[in-house]
Amino acid sequence: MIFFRRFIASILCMTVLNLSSPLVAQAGVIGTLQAVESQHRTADLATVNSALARDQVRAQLGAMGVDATQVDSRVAAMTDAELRSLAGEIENLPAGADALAVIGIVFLVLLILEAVGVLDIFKSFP
Amino acid sequence: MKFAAQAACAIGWLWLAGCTASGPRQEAFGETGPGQVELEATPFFPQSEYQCGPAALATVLAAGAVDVTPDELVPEVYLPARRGSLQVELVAATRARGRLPYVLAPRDDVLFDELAAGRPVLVLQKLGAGPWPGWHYAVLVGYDRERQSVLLRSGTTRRLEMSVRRFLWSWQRGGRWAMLALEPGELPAGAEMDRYVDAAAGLEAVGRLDEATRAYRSASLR
Repeated sequence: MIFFRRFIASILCMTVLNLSSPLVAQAGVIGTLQAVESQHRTADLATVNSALARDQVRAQLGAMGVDATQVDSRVAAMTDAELRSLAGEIENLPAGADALAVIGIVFLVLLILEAVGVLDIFKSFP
Repeated sequence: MKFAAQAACAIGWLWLAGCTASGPRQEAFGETGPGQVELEATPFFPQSEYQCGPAALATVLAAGAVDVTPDELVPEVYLPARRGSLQVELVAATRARGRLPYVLAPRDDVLFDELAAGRPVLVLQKLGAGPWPGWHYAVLVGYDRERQSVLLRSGTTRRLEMSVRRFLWSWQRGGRWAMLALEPGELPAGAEMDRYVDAAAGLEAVGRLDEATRAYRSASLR
């Protein structure tokens, strides 16, 4: 009886091991048409993404107080790559404003907290 | 009590770290090059509130013989809701004026090479911390090896002298971003051609074909 159980167990073990066969990579030659179409697809995706980014930046600039007559010319002066990196990030990017004179212990404490990473929560401070 | 001791240690460490992080600053100025540079002819436009972007950009454009004032640049670069100007829009406005916006490699010596070549540099500084990051654009117009200082057109100060260590620290915290407004075809001092060609391609992408052609031609002759 025990021998029978062990026999079944060893058969099951071998079966489980055989279930996990190694992955076989498929390689082959694809037709020229397939290769060209996949390149077109990449280019089309880039065009669509750039168009989306352009519209997004246009809307965001308008929402942030830029005059409607100026938005188009400001967007037109930026490259597609710049628009893609700007879209959605306008709130977070550095905006140079004034020569600040923050001095003394307050500055030092803020600097430490920033270095330590505690001050990430202040990102949306108005 | 324990917290106070820890805070004091942290402050002390940071202060000392600030002292040691600099070391002898001679190498920041580069091995060769003049001991002192001051681009006195660089124009000065005192900024209005929040308008360091237009003022600084007008300064470097005017230094390159573009007829412009900060007021004319405000509608092109100022973002009311952010009460400031974004770097990418300074680059875009430079293109719109027919100049090649060359963003420098993020290395200290590059700044001083450009000054030695007679070109003022538009820089971004982070002067604050935490909830008041103190982003600020200024124009680097000189340096002095002996005094270990730099000269800036900054805010409402025509000639601001700042220790080179403090300046480089504020520039480093700001991401080491610096820009030149070049005449298309004019090459920067340590011209990195891939950067230059990228900038030329940017001019082409926004339709400034004549300027882009001149820039590409200079790049190809190098």
